[in-house]
Amino acid sequence: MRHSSTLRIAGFLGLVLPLAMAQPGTSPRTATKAKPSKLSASAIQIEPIEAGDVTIPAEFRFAIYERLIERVRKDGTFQKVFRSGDHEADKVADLVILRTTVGKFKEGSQLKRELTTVTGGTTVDVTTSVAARDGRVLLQNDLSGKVRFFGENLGVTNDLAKRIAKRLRESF
Amino acid sequence: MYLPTSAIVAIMAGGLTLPAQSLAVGSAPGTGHSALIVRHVIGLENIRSQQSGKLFLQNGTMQFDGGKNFVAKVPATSIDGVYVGSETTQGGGKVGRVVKTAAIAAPYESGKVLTLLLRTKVDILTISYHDNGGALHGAIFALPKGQAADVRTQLLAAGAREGAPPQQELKERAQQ
Repeated sequence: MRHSSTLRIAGFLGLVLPLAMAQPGTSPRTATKAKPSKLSASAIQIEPIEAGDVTIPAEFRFAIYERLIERVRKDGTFQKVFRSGDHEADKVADLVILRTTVGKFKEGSQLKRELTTVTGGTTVDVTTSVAARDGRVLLQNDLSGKVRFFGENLGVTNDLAKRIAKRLRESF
Repeated sequence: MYLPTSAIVAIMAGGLTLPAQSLAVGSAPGTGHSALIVRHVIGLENIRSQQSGKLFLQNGTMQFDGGKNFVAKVPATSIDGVYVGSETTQGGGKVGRVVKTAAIAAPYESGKVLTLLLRTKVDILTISYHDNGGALHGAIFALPKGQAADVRTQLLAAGAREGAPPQQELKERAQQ
């Protein structure tokens, strides 16, 4: 009895194991765990925020730009973080350029937010792209920043910069 | 968990005595020029976010003096965009923020009254400029209501450029 069950298990393993070993890369577990290879660059240049067809006040555009620079510098993902137009960036060979375009902007109200907690949120949706010097797009993402409860409307810029910096950290 | 009633009353009373407008007009250090007390939102190098200080124009240079070593100077001629906006925000500065946070614990959401009492409207002044290395900077300040337009006029008179409104920027970009 024991002998026959051992034989059955051995037979089952004999059938399954060669199959599993023949295609190791296609098992669903391995496929989901495989991480995309990280990009590499020593420096990044951050371009000012483009409004596209969306009406967005200048203070929001420049606040996103400044907070992005602050965040990416703080994260240390890149050895150098250049502002738009910085002549020093011309000397860096493996420079990548971050461009951000606003897709949607909704300015809420701090008062409404704090009184109702469900209305008055400020949101900004953007498309970010990281390109190499030759124009090749290396990375493209749609992200959004929000202020839902406390804080000034301008706080949305901080949330958005945090998300963009996180995405850069994950990709480089 | 609720705060004792006496604590809530003390918080509310504290909130009522806070200045609604924490920004004001002073005088520039060492000069007879008037200086605005403004809040630096972001953008000036080596100046903390939310740092308060004096903003004034002297010898064609816009200066922000936040006391101690927090001083920033931007030549007016390097400014290529001056934008004025407005924002409703919370008055009372840091104290206001602490009082409001503590009042969250007040029963029946009565702490929200402070939101109404402490709100204040400010002007937002945004300038964009290029430094000597060609790098673009954007500096944002919160000013007392109605003052940003005057600062803008002074900056333009000192040699700053106005900057294109967003719609015009779009047209220019489309033409390129």
